[in-house]
Amino acid sequence: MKSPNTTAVRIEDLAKVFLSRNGTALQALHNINLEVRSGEVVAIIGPSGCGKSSLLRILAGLDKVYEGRVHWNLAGDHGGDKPRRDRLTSATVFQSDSTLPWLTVDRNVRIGLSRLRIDRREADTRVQEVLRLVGLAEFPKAYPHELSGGMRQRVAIARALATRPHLLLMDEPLAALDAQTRIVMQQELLNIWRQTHSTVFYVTHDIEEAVTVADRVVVLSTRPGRVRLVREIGTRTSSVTDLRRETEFGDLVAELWEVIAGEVGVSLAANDSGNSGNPAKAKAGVA
Amino acid sequence: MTGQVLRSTDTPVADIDVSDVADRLRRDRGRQQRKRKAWAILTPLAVLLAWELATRTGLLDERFFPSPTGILTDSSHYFTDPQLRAELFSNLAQSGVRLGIGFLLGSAVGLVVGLAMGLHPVTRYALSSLISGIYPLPKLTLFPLMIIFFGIGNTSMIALIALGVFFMVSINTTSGVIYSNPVYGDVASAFELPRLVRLRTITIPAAIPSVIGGLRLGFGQALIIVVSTEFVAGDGGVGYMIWNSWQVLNVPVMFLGLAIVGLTGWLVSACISLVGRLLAPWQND
Repeated sequence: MKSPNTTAVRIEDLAKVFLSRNGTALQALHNINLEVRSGEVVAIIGPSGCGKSSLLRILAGLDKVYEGRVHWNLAGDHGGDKPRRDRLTSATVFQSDSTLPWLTVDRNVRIGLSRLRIDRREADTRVQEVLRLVGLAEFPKAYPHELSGGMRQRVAIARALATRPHLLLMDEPLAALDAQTRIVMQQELLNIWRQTHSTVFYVTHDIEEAVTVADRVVVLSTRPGRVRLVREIGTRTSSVTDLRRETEFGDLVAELWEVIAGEVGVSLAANDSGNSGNPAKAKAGVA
Repeated sequence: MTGQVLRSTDTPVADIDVSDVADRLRRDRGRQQRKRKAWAILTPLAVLLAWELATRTGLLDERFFPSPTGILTDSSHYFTDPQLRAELFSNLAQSGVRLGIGFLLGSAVGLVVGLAMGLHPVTRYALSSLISGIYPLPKLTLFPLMIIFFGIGNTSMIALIALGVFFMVSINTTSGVIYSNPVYGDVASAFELPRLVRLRTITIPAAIPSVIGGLRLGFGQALIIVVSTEFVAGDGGVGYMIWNSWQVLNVPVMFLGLAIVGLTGWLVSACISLVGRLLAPWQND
């Protein structure tokens, strides 16, 4: 069990600059300072194109080119216990469909375990367990193209959960699901995290979802993304439906919406004054 | 909660007979499939019929365009007469050997080099200008060079076929590896897949559809090259048979040769597609 006060990831003065195809520089992230504590769920929200996904890719180790420092302090990172590793350092759920079409559901989940030193039986148990959790226990032998988009995304979630990661990274994991399944999955994720005391970095554009799942919500500004606001979420009701009835829930959503609306408004105004003759460009700021 | 529940049902109002509906849907699907097959067969038959009529009415010159039934009777001798049959089969065997060895050799080397270029950027940078420089050349222009290297005979022909197949397969394999959906690579990295697992379960399966496409194109190239080198070499084979029968104005045999080449191309292409559907069932084409 991790003590709740240790830092899992510390991000210091992080900046990310992309080079576009024609060689112009584009800054996605600016001066990000952020700590993710062990066992905490941090949700990142912000206008589209604010660098949420770039930040997640850096934390996932998929993007190693950035300015500033990121310290991972995750168990399993220390070389000593690597041979007996039964949990991944981090696992990612991607925004787009990331199931492998040539593998069955069951093997899609199992592939995530290939780095771990666990025996077959343990792997079987884990796969069955996570498939039951995401409601796909009846489809272990189905191929992704036989499933709906929402079911495929649940396969991807199951794959990440099966590795019992020290850090779970989720990039709009529920965006592809229909509204009802989304709320059911929010509940499921909350239940799982309560049980496993997971450290989660959760990117979403859905303010209600952020307030529902997170212990802390971080609002990023428009591009280049900076930390605009960090808000602790006090509500700790175990049921998603009960939570949605609370007045505090509505207040928080409204408060966060105002911050984001302000951001979008700022970007619209900036674009308007900058390119008054180009409405298409102003639109791109929100889209 | 305000508002009141106006109506709530948990049983459907009227039951429908699912098996009846399924029967109807199956009938519809069957009809659709029969329609597709009927058209696929009818069109070629109509062309043959038009040809037959045009020859019989004298619209087409019978010396150059004998009627399909005439071709059929003439070429049937090649299956009944022992001497002619031996001649035909010897030509078929020669072309078959050249085609088979050249295609297998070219695809094997193409696969390995294509994979290497896909996985190893430096190999790709190093070879790409060479490959894109030689690839656009009509392969027959390299035939004299092959004869210098390998001498007159089968070896130089096989080498040229293998070369043509190699380009198609290697280029398509490389693009299958580097242009497959980037999220597959992200999954491999994010879950720290061991190198071999990554190659076996991510990189290669992702490239399969493109490799299958390369093999089909490669076989098309192989057919072109085998026939055209046999035109030039005058050393037996179906290509030689076509060219020779044209020169002695034995036109029905020329058409027999054309039919053999066409059917081979169609059959092998269908087989490669079938293998592709078996290896990549998620791909719906």
